[in-house]
Amino acid sequence: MRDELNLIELADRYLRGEMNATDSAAFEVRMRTNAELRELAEDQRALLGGIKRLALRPAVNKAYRSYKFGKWLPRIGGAVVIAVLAVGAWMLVKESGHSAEAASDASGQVEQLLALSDTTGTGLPALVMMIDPKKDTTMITPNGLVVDIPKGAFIDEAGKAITKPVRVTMLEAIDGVDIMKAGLITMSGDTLLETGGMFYIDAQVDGKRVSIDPTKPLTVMVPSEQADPRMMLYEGVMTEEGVVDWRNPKPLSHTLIPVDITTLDFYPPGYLAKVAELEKDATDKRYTDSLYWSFSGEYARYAFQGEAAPADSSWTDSLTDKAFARSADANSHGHMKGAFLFATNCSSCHRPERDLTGPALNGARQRWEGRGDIYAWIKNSSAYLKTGNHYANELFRKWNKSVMTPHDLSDAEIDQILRYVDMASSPSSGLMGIDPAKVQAIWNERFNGTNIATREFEERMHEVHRTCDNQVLELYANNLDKDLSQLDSMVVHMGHGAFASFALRNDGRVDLPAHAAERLRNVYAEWSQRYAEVARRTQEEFDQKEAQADQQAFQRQIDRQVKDSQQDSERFNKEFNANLRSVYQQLGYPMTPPAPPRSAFAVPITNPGWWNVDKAVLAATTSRSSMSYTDDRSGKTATLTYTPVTIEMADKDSFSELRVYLIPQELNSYQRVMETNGVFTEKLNALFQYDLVCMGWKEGQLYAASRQDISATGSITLSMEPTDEESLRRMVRTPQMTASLVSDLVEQSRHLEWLELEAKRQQAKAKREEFRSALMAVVFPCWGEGVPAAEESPYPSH
Amino acid sequence: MSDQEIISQLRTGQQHKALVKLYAHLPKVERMVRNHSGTRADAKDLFQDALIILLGKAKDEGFTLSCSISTYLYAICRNRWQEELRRRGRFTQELEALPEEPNDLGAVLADEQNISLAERALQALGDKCQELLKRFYLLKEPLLTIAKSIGLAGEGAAKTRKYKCLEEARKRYRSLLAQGSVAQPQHP
Repeated sequence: MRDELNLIELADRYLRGEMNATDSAAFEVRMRTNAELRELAEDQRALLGGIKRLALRPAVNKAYRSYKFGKWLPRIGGAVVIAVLAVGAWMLVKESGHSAEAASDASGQVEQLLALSDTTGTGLPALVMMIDPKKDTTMITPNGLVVDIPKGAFIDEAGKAITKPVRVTMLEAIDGVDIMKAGLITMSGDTLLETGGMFYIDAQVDGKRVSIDPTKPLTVMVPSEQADPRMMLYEGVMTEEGVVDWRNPKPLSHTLIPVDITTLDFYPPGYLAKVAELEKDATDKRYTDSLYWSFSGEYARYAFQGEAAPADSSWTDSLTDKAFARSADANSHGHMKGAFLFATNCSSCHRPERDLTGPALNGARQRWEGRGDIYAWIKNSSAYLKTGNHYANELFRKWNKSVMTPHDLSDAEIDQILRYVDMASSPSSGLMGIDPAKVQAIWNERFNGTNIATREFEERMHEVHRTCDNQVLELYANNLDKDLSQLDSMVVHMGHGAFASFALRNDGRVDLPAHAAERLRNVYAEWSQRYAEVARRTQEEFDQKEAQADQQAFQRQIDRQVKDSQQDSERFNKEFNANLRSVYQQLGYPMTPPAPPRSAFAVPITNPGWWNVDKAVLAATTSRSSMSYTDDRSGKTATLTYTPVTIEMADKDSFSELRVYLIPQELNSYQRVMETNGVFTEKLNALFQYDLVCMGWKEGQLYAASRQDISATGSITLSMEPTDEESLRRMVRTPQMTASLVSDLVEQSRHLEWLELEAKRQQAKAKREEFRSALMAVVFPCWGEGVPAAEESPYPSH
Repeated sequence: MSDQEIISQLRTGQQHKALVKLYAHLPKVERMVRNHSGTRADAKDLFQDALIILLGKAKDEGFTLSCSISTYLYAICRNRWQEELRRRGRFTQELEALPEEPNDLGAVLADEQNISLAERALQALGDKCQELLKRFYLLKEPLLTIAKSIGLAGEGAAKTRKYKCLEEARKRYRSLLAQGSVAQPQHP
């Protein structure tokens, strides 16, 4: 043993270059011949390298903490204090056998530090800055401490904000070496603290220390790789022995301060901006609220089928404290345990819902069903591969032959993981966003004075919307007696990494009176259901009404079309017969009354045996063109004459619906004049005297114009006048017309009225749909991701 | 900041800023490791080791970079991860080769193996041992001062303690060498 120690010392000295040339040479000779010595020297060299590296590691770690800048312990409010932030173990204070000698050594320096009006003396580099108290100032120290000084934070003895430049001095001892160098100790009474670092802030004006306005605390953020919930803020107090005692520990997580809940914004991100963009009044909260709540109806319509059974929210229900404290513990909350197990064992290669290095895990159990032993596979995949299981080998090949590391998990734990992945992936695949009814249930005065009514929650709420996962909101709403940060980390475990930054803030909670949390939980459950129900019913009623209206409109259109085509075919027959009669007469034949054709278009095809003259007349009647027919036998010529007429109206475009009808005085009939290329034009049969009537609707008012005996005129201009049905009836009536036909023609005006209303209804509907669909993607951030678009059908199918 | 500026910062007292800057290369290593059966923690460990190697090298006056810092760090990580995968015997593919490799890589890695084992051996020692060794070898404090500050009776005690610590470290180092392990410390 002694020998070896001697050898080590020799090697040590050799390696550190402490030997003189002769000894050194002698040692080298010895090494060449002595393998053991050579090995010893080699080892010693490696160890020295190791020590060097050990010393470099903190710098690298510290840089990592700064790199992960997002991870902060926030908001240590307060006065001028020296603080020990207890976390992690620093070698200096780890052992309890701290010598008194060292302690008193340190105290002298501490005294210096406390009495310090200027800088040096502690061995710590001081950071001195002159700041303008009228402005917000943020300082970042070399160690990464961030100090935020709000404007007006410093006050004089009278409590008035200081306006003169303030000299701020900061000392920091964040890592072990600094703490040692400063000789600071970390005792609190008789207890030894583990420290995460110390800092000292002093503010002076003209050499006098100033106070901090308690309502405007400085915020100091201390970099920390891990936010240890046990970390506390201590105040350094000088004892009579001249030793600093760390007292008045305060938890770092700050108590939340509730604000008026109606001033907060729980809308989905971008909602108000979108409403404003759609030219609605985004400043009218009553309007934006009710509009937003109404989307719960859409939610019920589209999302419900896709969502996992809502009953399965056991792990977002209120959690007992015990369950919280041992959240990673077994049994109490299988899902949560599953989530933790998943996070630690699987998440590096797997996601529940999508492929990563390995396949998506949801449905894994199902896929393995009947194909092999999933438990054996998870526990030791290489061993299981060797059993020759077909499915296992198939998987192995499919996934690039990368081997799944063996997992030391029990069957029960594997069950929990598999349950978790199935559950974790199902909602996110079918969800569209947060149900507005659930937001409505918490966004009201009942929740004033709770975690919900805080700026901190407002921030989370925006992220909650982005998760599209209602269970996240449930978790917060159902656990008002928990610290926000606790809930944040659970949300992280639910797979929403974005909440990690919240979790690290250590936000606490608003303290509630006894049972308030439970009462509010019930309120939330009851009201979110009630609001959803109301919105769903409103939506359904609305949908039903629309569907009914669509159906009625459809029916009405069809009815009118059928009537019109009947009327028109009757008119055609009458005109055809009149033409025929006229032609026969002209040719001098007796009228062979043709069997009245049942339909205008059936005549020529099914009766090819008619005389040519009949065919010619039919062709002329159908095409409404003049005809001249010379009979072979009699040599006589018969003619039919059609002359075009154009009808014009002043102000035509101002009418939403406009119809022009010709009424042949000789027939009990009327004929609609169609508009082609913006012109009402028709050909008049010279056999008849025509009356002309025109009707239109404009803003709920019937307009009409008429002209008698228009046979000779080529172009007619009418001017429409407001009128009523009775006058219209008088206008259209001709001696030949039966009362029922008159009524039918008058009824056309009612149809026009209806058409105008219907067009308005359709317009409104389209506008509403456009408006709402423009908002859908904002209200439901996951809308469109795997949610099928609503089917568009103008009329319901029968 | 250019590579050369980073190196000179690492040399001087301003290493913190430079190190933070260097972490920008971590994600690339993370990608490589995570794509090949490793975890984020594996990647961080590898990368930090590489940083330490670079840091140690930078303190060397004669050190010049034969390639970019990014390549240097990545090459170290890549080679060590390949080593680790071989050791775990779980990998059939080769990691993608790099177009250029630092010319001193072989030497760096050969040393690296042993030094990283030595570090692990030292980490396993008590804090007092580590403290003592660091103060003695690096801060070059006299034994008497060290004895005072860590609560030992005197110079003699400190000296004995120092050898005991070294002895213990060497024993652990030997056994790690025997295992032939370059595994990273296990993460919970």
